[in-house]
Amino acid sequence: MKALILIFSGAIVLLFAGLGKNERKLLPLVWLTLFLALAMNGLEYFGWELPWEQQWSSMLQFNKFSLAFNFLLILLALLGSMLFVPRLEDKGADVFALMLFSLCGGMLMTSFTSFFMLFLGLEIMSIPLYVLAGSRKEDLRSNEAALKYYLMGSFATGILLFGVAMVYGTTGSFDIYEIGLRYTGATMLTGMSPMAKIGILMVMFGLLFKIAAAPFHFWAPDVYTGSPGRVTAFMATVVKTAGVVAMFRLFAISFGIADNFWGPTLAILAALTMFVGNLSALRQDSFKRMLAYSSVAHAGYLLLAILVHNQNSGKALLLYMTGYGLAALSAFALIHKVSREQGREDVSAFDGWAKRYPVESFALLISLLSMTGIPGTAGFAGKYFLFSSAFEGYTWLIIFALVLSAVSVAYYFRVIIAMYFRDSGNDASSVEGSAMSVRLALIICTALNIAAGIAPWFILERI
Amino acid sequence: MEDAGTTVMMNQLPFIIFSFIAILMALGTITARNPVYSVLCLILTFFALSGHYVLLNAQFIAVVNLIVYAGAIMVLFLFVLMLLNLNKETEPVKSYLWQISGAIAAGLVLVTLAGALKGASAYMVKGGPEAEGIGLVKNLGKILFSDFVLPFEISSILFLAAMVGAVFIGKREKQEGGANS
Repeated sequence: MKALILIFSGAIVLLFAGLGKNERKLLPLVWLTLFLALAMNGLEYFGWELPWEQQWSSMLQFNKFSLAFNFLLILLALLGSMLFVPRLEDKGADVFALMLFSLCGGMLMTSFTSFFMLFLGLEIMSIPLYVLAGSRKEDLRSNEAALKYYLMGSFATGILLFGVAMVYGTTGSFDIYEIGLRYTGATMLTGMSPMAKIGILMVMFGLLFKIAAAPFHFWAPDVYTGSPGRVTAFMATVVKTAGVVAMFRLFAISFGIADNFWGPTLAILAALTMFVGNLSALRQDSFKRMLAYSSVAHAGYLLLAILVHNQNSGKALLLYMTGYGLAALSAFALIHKVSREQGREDVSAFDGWAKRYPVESFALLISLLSMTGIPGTAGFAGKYFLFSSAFEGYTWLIIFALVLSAVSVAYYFRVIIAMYFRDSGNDASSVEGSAMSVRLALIICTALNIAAGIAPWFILERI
Repeated sequence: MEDAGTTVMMNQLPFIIFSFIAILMALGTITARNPVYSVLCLILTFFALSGHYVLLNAQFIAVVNLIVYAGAIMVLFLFVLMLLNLNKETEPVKSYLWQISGAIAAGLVLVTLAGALKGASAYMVKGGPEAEGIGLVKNLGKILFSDFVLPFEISSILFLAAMVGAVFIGKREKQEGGANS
């Protein structure tokens, strides 16, 4: 909770700092806030708790599980803010402050124990994002992204609330542990009532929308492509992590007893999500749009953790999200770089990149390998533990997922081939070096990715 | 038996009337051709819903619903509609296929919901709508500042974020030479 308060205060300080004319100091202030929050979160993880924090455990509960995920969220936000050098027009304090507010919402979603906090967290996370998606006001695609995300998002929130109302109607409680107990009792006595079932389904659909799982993914490609790069990276990493973790918490604790009811539905949706995501990604020419579809596909893999919803799959989820988050951040950052240099985002823009930008190309190589799931990267370790935790219950789904992972090689490797084996017309003189912070963040992302791939136990033991 | 039947009817009569108005006006909202009529129908829907809140002994929410939704937000809607100057030409045209598939999908949701909620028995909460003075401002304030003080405080983040976002959207862009408007 201290980290949460720190980030919120940091956002307010940032807003006041934005009144001054010195816009160069804003970004270091963001880094400082996030870095302090990261340190604070670490202290909380190792047991530093103030006496007043206990009394709200019926609303928010910061245990090892949520603190580990909060650490990941803050780390991703910090690296994300380092990776994207703001353009001149994006330098306002409000953009950074909105991002910090959104992060606060994400942290609530990993630690809620009451539906109130789930809803508040979801809204605090989403509302700044609706604005941020349209933060490039003169760009029509950015406007489209904002409007689309806003309309679809509020609709999904409505469905979620409808579901919450039904769950409350059948249990009389907003507390997720209490709901779990009531449902356990009800299932033993009479079986779930239809009202409870429809409530669970509606909550599920509302949350699936947020993590862009099929068939609720139609907004994702347009919004991801239209939004400014920094916002897209934030959506694909922080928002997706928070959404999946919220869903995991809810379905493990409250609805875990009824998993023979929602399990098959979710399994089919997971299969559909992987299928649609991977196959659509195959057909894209724009690298950003391809990554948007691949993020849909990854949402499908993540749903496996929710299907299994035990201790092991929670651990695997942390590892997977670490690998995917780090990889997606550096990939989106490099797309940002390419589109600023050449004004286009398609795969051929990367032709001959390895000669001009050896460091950046290597970072992109590692992140693409990690997303594919090649051994030695965090992506492989995450996939391995995630799939093996679900193998017993859902063998058919795991085989399906493995086949589609193999398909994903086709589109990830197109970029690698373009980078390393194609020549571009341009000569090496047109190299435009990255800023120090970008380079540092890329190196951190790559190093962490490889480290987590080699020693996944270090992350798995955090929960 | 006759008496019991009439008392039930008497208690249910306001509920039925309010529900009737709410459904009728909600239908009006989506079918009215003129957007201003649409908004007016929506206001009446909110009035009917406020009636429901009163029946559920939640007077405070009923009043707030009227002030905030039927009052402030709907006036804002009306202004926006008048400023936007919507007319038939700018109305987006959807093909019949979309309309029919939308109607079928929504109809299926309705059937599912009705089927699930038919004969469903809600969990009886201690101190439900029948309890003494449950929806009064005094009790609401007490619980808001004791049990629910954390969500109450955290919603300030939400409002601050929404406010910053609104200012951000409304802010005039810095013009850089020759851009239009």
